[in-house]
Amino acid sequence: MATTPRLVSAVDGKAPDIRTVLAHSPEVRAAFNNMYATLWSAGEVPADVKELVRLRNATQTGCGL
Amino acid sequence: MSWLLDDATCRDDVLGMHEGLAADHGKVFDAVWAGCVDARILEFCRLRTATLLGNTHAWNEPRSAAAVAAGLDEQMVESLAQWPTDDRFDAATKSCIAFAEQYVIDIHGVTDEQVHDLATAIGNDGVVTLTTALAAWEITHRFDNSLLGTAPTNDSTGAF
Repeated sequence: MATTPRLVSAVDGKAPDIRTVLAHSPEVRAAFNNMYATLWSAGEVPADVKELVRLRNATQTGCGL
Repeated sequence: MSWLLDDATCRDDVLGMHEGLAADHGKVFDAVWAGCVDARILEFCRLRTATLLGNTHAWNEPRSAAAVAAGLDEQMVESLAQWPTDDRFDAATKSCIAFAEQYVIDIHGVTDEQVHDLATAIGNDGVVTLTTALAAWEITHRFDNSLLGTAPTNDSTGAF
């Protein structure tokens, strides 16, 4: 498994990370971020429960970020 | 059709129970289909990941309008499972479908070389667009599987 980003940064002078790599496709990134924000800010499920689910999912899928 | 909504007939009915999320979900796909990756390739990837995740709903719903407008070949759709040996799928398309399969089956099996080849074929912006699309489709396929149940299979592609 790679431990460094596989794409270069799309932002001059910035190291590649999740934000600067996603910036290669700003419209798609913005739309996905909006949906992600809605998942966190709306609905009946408390935020602490969402965070537990997020962390459990990250563990199950081997996401170290 | 759904465990959540007795009279639901499709994904939109169930997703519509959360209007804000439904709107944002739609905007993600609007951005994906309007992005830099050939819509026909995206449709192949959407359907292939649907097959791998067992989502019959994705095959039963209308094909992507963007892909159809781009000239999606329905005969190629019917041969999608044979993409590795079907010469009608060009190198870029094969790179994308291979990445889509790897994404669903074993994301940690993605290699530096695979991403490099993909970026050569569709560009860095294409890789970001395709990867985001795969993430969104995986969400959608699992949403369908978990909340809509199993749809009757009426495709003739042999995908299921």
